[in-house]
Amino acid sequence: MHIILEGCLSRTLYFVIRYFLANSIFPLEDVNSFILNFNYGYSEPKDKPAPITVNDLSSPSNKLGQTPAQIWLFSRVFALFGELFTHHCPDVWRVLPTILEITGICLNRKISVNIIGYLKGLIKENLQLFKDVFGENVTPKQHYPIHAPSQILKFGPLTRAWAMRFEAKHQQFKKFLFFERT
Amino acid sequence: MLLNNRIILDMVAKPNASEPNSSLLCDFANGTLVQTHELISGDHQSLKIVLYYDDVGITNEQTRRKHKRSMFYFQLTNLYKGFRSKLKSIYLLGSAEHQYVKRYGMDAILAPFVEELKDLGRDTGVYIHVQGGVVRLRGALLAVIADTPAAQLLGSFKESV
Repeated sequence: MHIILEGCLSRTLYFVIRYFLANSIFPLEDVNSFILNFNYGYSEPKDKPAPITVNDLSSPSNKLGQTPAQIWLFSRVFALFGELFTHHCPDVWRVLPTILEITGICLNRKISVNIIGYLKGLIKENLQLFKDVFGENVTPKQHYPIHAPSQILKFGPLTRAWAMRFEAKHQQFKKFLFFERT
Repeated sequence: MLLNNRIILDMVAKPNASEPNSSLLCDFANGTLVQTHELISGDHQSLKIVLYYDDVGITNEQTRRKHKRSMFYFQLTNLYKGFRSKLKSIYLLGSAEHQYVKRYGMDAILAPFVEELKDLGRDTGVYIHVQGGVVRLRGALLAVIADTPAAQLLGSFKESV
């Protein structure tokens, strides 16, 4: 799911925040203060987003200094913060709800077959909006979600076939190797 | 050895049946791959294996020499979906130095696994000794999961972004 969490979603958030900061719509300190003081749910504090630094906003990796789980949570809470400022630039803000909807559908545990066609249209709309609004190139990671609808039909919900748990198992072995050395 | 566990054996024996004509995709079994698979669509008790491949970089603290090891893991998707997120349900299939993977090729490294898959895929299947007796099971590799560079190496594609 890095194609979304570290790809589309992360890159969209990166450019939206950069746009708002560049046009002095809100300062970075307000975003970080919101992140720190938000009332997260019971199971959410472990994935609480990290404060965004100025370096994160100029880094080529577009990840805002967050892990994929942090990006996922941040995308959901940032909409609550940014919605107050959307009247300043509604075109820029329009990119965010499409990617949030794509993320919501793709990361669902149960997906209706009837929504696959809608998802295809949504991904196309998101990529077109991204190019029109920000004028930035689409990265390979942003291209891969185009294949997500056909893969959902083939394999079922992508959360059943993602690499996240396998990567966690892999981390266990990495830690084991670390302790072996010491 | 896995199937010695009664709970796992029960899950293989009694797969969660999806509702017929349901338009809701909940698991691998609802996807077209499983429904059109020659072996799995006919035998609901077949073992459905998923393979994962990734590399790990190790640095020897004393000599500062760097090694890269390729690790292969597998999981049975017969397990009910709630159990598959447990790290205990993912098993190490094997590991090899990455330099040997590059030198001899992925085919040579995975050859023993492929032979075992061929045995599982035969009409007669494989006899497995479990607690209380012997079961005859068939199975197939359902999918291979890997990140982009690992997937490119596995599929013999050119390594790129």
